[in-house]
Amino acid sequence: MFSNIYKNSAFKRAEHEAVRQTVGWYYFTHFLVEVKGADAAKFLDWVCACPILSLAEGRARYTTILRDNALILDDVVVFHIEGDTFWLSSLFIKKILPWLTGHKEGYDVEITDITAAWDMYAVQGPLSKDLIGAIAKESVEGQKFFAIAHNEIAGVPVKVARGGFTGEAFGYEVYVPAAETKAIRGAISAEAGKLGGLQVTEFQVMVWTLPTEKGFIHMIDVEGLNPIEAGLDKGIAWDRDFIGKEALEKTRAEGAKRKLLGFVADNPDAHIPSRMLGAAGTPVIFGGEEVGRVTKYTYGFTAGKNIGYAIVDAGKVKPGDVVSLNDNTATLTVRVFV
Amino acid sequence: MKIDDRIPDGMGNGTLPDHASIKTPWEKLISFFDAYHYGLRHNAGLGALFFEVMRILIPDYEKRMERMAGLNYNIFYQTFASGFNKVHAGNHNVPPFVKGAMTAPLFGDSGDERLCMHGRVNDYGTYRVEKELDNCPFEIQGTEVCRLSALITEAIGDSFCQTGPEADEHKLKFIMSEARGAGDLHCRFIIESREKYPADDKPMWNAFEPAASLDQVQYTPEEKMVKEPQEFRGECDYKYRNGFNMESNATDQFRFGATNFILGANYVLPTIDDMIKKGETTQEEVENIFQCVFAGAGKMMFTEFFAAKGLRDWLGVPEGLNDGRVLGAYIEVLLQIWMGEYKVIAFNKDEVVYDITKLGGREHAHPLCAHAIISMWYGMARTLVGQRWFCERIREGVDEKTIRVKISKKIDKFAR
Repeated sequence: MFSNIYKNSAFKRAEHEAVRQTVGWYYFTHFLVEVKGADAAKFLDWVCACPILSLAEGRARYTTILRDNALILDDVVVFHIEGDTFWLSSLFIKKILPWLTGHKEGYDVEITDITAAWDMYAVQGPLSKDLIGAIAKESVEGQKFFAIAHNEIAGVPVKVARGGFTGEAFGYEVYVPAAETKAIRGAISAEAGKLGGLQVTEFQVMVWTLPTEKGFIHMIDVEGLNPIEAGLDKGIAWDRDFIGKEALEKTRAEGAKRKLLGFVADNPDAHIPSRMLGAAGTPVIFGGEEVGRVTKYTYGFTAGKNIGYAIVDAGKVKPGDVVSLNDNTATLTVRVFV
Repeated sequence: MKIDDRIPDGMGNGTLPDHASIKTPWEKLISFFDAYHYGLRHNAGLGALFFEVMRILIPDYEKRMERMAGLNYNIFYQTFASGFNKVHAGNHNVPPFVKGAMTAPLFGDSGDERLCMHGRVNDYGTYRVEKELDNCPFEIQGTEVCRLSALITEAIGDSFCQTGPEADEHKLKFIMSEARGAGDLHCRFIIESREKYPADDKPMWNAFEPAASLDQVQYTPEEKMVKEPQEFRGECDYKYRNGFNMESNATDQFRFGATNFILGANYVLPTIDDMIKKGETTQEEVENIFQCVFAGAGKMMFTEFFAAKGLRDWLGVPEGLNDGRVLGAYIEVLLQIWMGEYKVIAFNKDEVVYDITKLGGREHAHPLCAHAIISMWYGMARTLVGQRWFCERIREGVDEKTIRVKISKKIDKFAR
């Protein structure tokens, strides 16, 4: 019968460890929305919880986008490409595109889904700078975290952003015109081979094992939460107006009633259904009472533990408490594991 | 023709709270919840009859499966490869970096919940997916539908392996290692890459082949099985939600056709068409088999007195009323559940006539569907109402797009 799907998988471990120890690369195209026009910065500053008017050209910012009631609609990375042109990288275009277009009245902006035009390759890990440095025309030596710059790889104009979804100090995302994807893919793959890196092919590694160890979230983790409850309020500038601010200020004044915490499961083979695979997630039981639900559960190869997230009643449990999850004991933690 | 004994439309509007429900001709309400569940089970029974027709035409299990497998694989592959796969992926909120066959199980998952085949995804990755179902209204159809459902999901998966930068990388084999239709407690789809989980190739029709990754199965014991799909569970906020945060509720699912889809018929009808085209059977022979199977089933539905009594209670038939209106009321309920469109032409003690312009959305796509259903109503009339009553399709004086159904007494010396 069941034994830990992740822990015992040599290829998943190898792909995970490549990112942590050398370099891992993978096709990681997200939905991409271009917001362009004289009012683009002003519009995004109003739509996003974090300020965008102060976002310098060539820089990126992670932010939530809130509904009027302050619940998170999406979390995105906003790139200030140049001048009046911004990109939003999202995994939730179905909601974000109608939301943006539905709120643009009075703003001089054009909003376009440019997903089909751009592929993105993630290059992550301690040797990622060496890899990009070897294949890019322009040096990335001085490129700061969350900066995006024009560059050229294999004769193809690309944009290289420093950052990623792995929590690595060095990681890059290469945006390439979709028609040229094979050339870039070939160049990255060849160089990775020279550096002892690997292609990450397993979805579970790119979206769960690597990001979860470092506390990254997906919308499924925070659906129904506001950014304070989700722990995503860092960077919100309260001295400006933005959609959802009024409702969020109430939580700010009263304190969050729910929290998105981490947990470590004791049993190495524990089976704990979570929202990341759909449905409601396993109930979090404390003192015989349901105090929350599991949103994510995976194995952290670097952490060497079964880890996950749960939305819990902040008044009833805290990090350090031992809870029961599908008849397995687990200890609640903060949301970073390595 | 006259319409009587019906409460006029609109009477009482605004006096009581409105409810989403099916109404019988006597204003008995059938809740949305009941209608949804009843509709699925009824359709499952209809689909079972379609498979019976198929079993008469090709008695040998393996030959029947081979015939249906090849044909239906191609239909689904072509349909989805035409670009519908990407549209559907968008509907499921699948991010662009998710490529290849692993997209198809997401369609299966939302479809399962829509059709009350509720359960859970136990594993989802590039090389392995596991889905466990706790319920299946269609489990009464036999194991052909289980094998075919696994196979057509594989066809959809294959349609994703032909385009894009990840082309040809992620072909997956769709296996049904357990099936409620075969008597198992769960249905279990194990979808695995032969690259990571090698196994010998089996014939296309045999989706029950052993999975190579059985050691990774996550088995849910009976006491933890779920009783309803996500859209009917409070813990899920009455919404279906997949891991990519696609969400829909029961209203969406109903509108999307949950209750008018006769799973099973969609596999059988193209196979029969192909057999007729190739001269292996004839339209007349097929129509006769359909009439025998469906009329027989219809008669049997109300042979037992308690079955008729139960239906009358369910519909709220007034005491003492026993004529064509009883069957008419049942047909009206079905048409509402199927999101059908119909007009009441006559509704009185002597005759009931409906002009149906939409019969569950499938009759105009395939005439045998209407033939099958009306044959069943024919059989039902003989036992639900009485041996002097007949239900038949009237073609004279009716345009081609309208199905006129008449329930009345008559004498037919050649009655079946």
